[in-house]
Amino acid sequence: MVNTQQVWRACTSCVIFGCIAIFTLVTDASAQSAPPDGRALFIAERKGNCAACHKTPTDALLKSVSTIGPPLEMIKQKYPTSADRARMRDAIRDSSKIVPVTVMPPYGKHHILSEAEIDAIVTYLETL
Amino acid sequence: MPSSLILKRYRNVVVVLASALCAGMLTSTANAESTATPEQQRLALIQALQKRLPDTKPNDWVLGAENLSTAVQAIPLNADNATNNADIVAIGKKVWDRKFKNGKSLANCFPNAGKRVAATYPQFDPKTKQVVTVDMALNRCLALHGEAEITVTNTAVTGPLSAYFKSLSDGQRLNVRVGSVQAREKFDSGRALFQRRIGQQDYACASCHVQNAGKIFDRQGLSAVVGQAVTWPRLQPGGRVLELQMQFQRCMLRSGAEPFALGSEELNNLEYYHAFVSNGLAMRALAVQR
Repeated sequence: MVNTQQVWRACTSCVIFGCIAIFTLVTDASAQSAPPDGRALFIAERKGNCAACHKTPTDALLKSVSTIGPPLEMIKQKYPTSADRARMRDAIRDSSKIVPVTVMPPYGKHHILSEAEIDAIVTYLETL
Repeated sequence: MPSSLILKRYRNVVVVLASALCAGMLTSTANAESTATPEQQRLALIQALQKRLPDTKPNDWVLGAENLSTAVQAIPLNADNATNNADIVAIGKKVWDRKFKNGKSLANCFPNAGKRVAATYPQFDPKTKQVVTVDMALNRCLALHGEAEITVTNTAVTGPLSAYFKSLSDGQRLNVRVGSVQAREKFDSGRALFQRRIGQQDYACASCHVQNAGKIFDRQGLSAVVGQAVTWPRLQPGGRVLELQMQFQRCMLRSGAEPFALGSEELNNLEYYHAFVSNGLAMRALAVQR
């Protein structure tokens, strides 16, 4: 015969496992729906690693001293239109199509960044 | 029609034409290089670097990027980069002086007991039709006298030993020869690898050390390829000696490529080309700290 203590233990276990399952589902869903962090991708060595080549004078925390590529600042003011944004995306995806002797990695063509990640970086660039 | 509007309208056409022109120029440069002699290529490379590094000469490039740019000088040298070159050379000398079972030593394998010899390496060996690097020459000597060879990955020994051997040529002008059709093939193969874009990041050696020499990449100054060969090997933080081919591997990894093995034909040929373009510059083993 099942006593009260056993019933209580079973209920407690169900509640704990239920909470874990719900928490897992919620965090998975939020991870899938949250847009990638453009600034983090810009910095990450195994992703954009953009600060290795570009200074970002208006992002004071980055403190990049690199001189390979042009400094990135006033992007939204310099490139305001949606066509500009599309060109920026193209340049990140495969800049050799625009400048054949470029040393910028072909982030999209070589699958270093996904399309969503390229978008996120462009969004971050527009804040500079 | 305002010129800015014309420019906007025909921007794509201009980009395509410019790309075609650049591609054409690159192809013709590659073709010109394949017909030019190694010496002509060396001089052309110096000219190209001088355009990027005006008011400097190859002798100024020997000490690396910090000699080329005040921005690089502003990056602090790590405290643990403090050198003890003398200790490294002394470790190498012990290996050099060690008597073989037959009473000889490494000095017996080289003319002039090894003095002023390393400045002629890498060499092309017509017998084996291979490029012979300093490490290979030292191992050949060991094998000739029935001694165990030093594996290329045992850099705790190969590093100091090659540093000592090269220090015996300090002040000598690098004089690598490409004296036959077969040697030229190795030189060309090394040059092709130097210029080839590799890995996920798509960098070539030339991307950094020609095209962007003197600039700063990821808080590191980029040295010019001309002048690099005379200062290797290089002392690293913690007293580790970094050999040139290890640096080749690091660069390949940085480009997201699987590096060729130490002592492989690819890296030997690359070292051959790399050394040749520094011909005429004085050897200074362990001189660069960064």
